[in-house]
Amino acid sequence: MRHRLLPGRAALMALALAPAALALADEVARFRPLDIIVDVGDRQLAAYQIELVVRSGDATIVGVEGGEPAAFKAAPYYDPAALAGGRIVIAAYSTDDPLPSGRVRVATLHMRELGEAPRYQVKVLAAASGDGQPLSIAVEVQPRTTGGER
Amino acid sequence: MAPSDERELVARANQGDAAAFEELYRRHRDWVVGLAWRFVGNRDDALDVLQETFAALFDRFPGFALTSSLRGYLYPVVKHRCISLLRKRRRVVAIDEARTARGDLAGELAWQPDPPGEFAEIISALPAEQREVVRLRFALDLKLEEIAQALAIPTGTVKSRLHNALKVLLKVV
Amino acid sequence: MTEHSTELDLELLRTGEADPAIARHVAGCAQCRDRLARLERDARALAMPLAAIEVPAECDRAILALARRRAGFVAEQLERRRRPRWLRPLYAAVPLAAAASIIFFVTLQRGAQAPQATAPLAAAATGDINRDGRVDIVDALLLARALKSDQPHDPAWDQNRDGRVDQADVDRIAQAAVSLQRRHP
Repeated sequence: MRHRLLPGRAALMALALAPAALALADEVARFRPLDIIVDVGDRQLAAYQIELVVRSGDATIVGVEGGEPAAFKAAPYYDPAALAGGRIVIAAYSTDDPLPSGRVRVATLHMRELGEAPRYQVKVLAAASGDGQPLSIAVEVQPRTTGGER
Repeated sequence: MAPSDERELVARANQGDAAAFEELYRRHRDWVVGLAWRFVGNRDDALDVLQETFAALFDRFPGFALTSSLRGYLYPVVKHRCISLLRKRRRVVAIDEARTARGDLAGELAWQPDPPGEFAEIISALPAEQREVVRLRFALDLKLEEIAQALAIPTGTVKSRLHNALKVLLKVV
Repeated sequence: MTEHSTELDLELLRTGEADPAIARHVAGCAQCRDRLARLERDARALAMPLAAIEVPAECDRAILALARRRAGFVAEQLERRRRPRWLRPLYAAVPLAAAASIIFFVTLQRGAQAPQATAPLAAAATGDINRDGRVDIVDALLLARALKSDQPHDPAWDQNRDGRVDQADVDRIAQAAVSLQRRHP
């Protein structure tokens, strides 16, 4: 069946044909939040700087979100160039009192993944307690099983 | 996707071509200062933000990779500079602290008046994250990919927010 | 496609971002065409062009001068990378020798204390507030704490050289710390 289009509308339709590949790519991709969790034991966390790298698989960083405690609720600092890439350095500090201790979700990274589950590697580049002294912390990446908002 | 000539300019700037740096400034100057004015509401502050934004952009070279359009890249830079400036003057309006980028510590920025008339009230009643998508889409005329980059959220999330906002906007009017 | 298009479909169609199937459906559906026409009207009502702000000529000049300086820096960086590796020590030796002679001269003039006094200043000016040889988030934390405590501000903390030490300087250090262009340990 053929449709008769008004000239203006016909131009609109022609424009609409362009992003077909984009729409197709979007269908097979999935978004997954990765919680970045650090453990500072009984010390207080005032600052952290962590690097995450996609080690294997097809994944790109598409969003950065803050963590759970009030001191780190705002999204961390990051280089916007990291978005749509596979490597990011995130960092945040807080001058709040009190500061969080124990196991803390400091940030969540939003990933766009394709195919098999990618593997991620995290590294602590710096961490400090409230007085600015170096802090030894453990860090882990915890993918959320349920997707976020789409 | 960035227009190919914009990519070309970025590529030339990455090679140290002074004319390309200048052209990037000339092309985006009015947009950046206009956007800054939307956030801060006065010319002097908007001009400060203009200078800081381009200083930050130039610092990205060499090695600057354009993933979407330059406007998509510049939006968060302008916004964060405005927040930093307003924070110093304690004029930031705290509305919504959920899912905001660093610099949005105090929530959504004040935005100079939305379109007058029937839409103003409807837009102000939208949740903050939908409101920002609507402004980027209709007031700044950004594409989905550009909004995703500007807000550092997935394209699917932009679609979802836009879809929900449109349902409200088009039902009421 | 038998179902009518959603508002989002129509909005994406308006800007040329929709799937071709949507375009095909709307072309053959009078109801969706009417809704699209209404959406186009609404979009025009929502459009709010940015105000035209006059930028003073001196502001343009300052930013364009910055642009040229940065372009020069970029070109110089690329030129350094292009030099043969075995020649690099020679190129590096020239400015180093010049710097050494200047430092030697200044030391003679001011006595041995001068370099010790200027070295920490230089370190802080590059964002290394705690002078541990690297710029990281701990430097931002220390500067933020210093600002919060209202202790006297060291002029060397003025990272963006705007004559003030404030949150913008903290942000600059933190932003430098997460830059992907720097080498992280």
